[in-house]
Amino acid sequence: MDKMDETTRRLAAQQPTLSDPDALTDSIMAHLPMQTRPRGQQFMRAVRWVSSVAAVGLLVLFVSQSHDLIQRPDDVDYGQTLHQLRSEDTQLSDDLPPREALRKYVELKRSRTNISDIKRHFSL
Amino acid sequence: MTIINNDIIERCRCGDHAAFRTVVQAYQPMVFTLAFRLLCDEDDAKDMVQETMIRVWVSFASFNPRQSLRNWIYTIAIRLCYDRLKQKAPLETLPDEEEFFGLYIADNDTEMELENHELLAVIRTLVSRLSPRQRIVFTLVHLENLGTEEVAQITGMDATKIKSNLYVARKTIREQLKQFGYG
Repeated sequence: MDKMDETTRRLAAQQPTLSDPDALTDSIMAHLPMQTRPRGQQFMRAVRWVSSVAAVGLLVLFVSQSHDLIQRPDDVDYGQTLHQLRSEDTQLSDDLPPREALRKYVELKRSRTNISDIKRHFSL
Repeated sequence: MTIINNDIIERCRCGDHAAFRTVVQAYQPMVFTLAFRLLCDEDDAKDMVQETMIRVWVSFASFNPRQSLRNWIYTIAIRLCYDRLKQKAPLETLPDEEEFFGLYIADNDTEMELENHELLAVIRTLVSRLSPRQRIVFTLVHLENLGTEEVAQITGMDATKIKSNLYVARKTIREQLKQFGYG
């Protein structure tokens, strides 16, 4: 082994002494600034935040619309509507409950519309 | 040395100060030794530990946990030391440092324990003629005992550059030793 290798080997084995390491640690900890996030992460966080807000918005919109749809039949004055329907159509007997009568009326209306559409189509 | 597991790393990435204190305690001797050997100044080495650890903390979110934490901290420390070396005036050794160096290399006592100022005198005299890049490669390979692959990873230099810098560094140090009668 030449002198250079011997000297470097001895130096490598020799560690400098760090006086008062705890004070150095405390000083480092006392000077820690805010952590920064990489641009990619910041962008992904923004995307996630916007997506969450949009999802919540859509959910609120859906729930409010569903609520409207559910509420609407209750707004119908069944008595008045039934009276009108029964006067227009003799197939709706008086002993049918209101909701059943309404359903029956819709079915009849649909079937008639279909027949009249077919007749119109074939010019009968 | 405290083992830094993935849990501590993850907590550091989330900004946990207590977890980071563990990292500082584990790695500050390593950074201090490296900076001491490169900058050849005890106070500068302490400043460098602080600067490195703050940089580690600030950029912890960008640390890839699959990477080696030790090598990542080495990389940050090396970059900061390199910038400092470029700013600093070239090393000038004092006559009494050269005198101590002569005594040190003449002594074959491998168990001799040196004080910090004695160790500085030896390192300063040994590396005073090296460029910052040569000093980094020489220190990492011969004093920190890292392999070429690790040095490449830490410094960002390719193997050819590392070998050429190391070759020149060794040649310069041999010439330096010749002046002290060891050819």
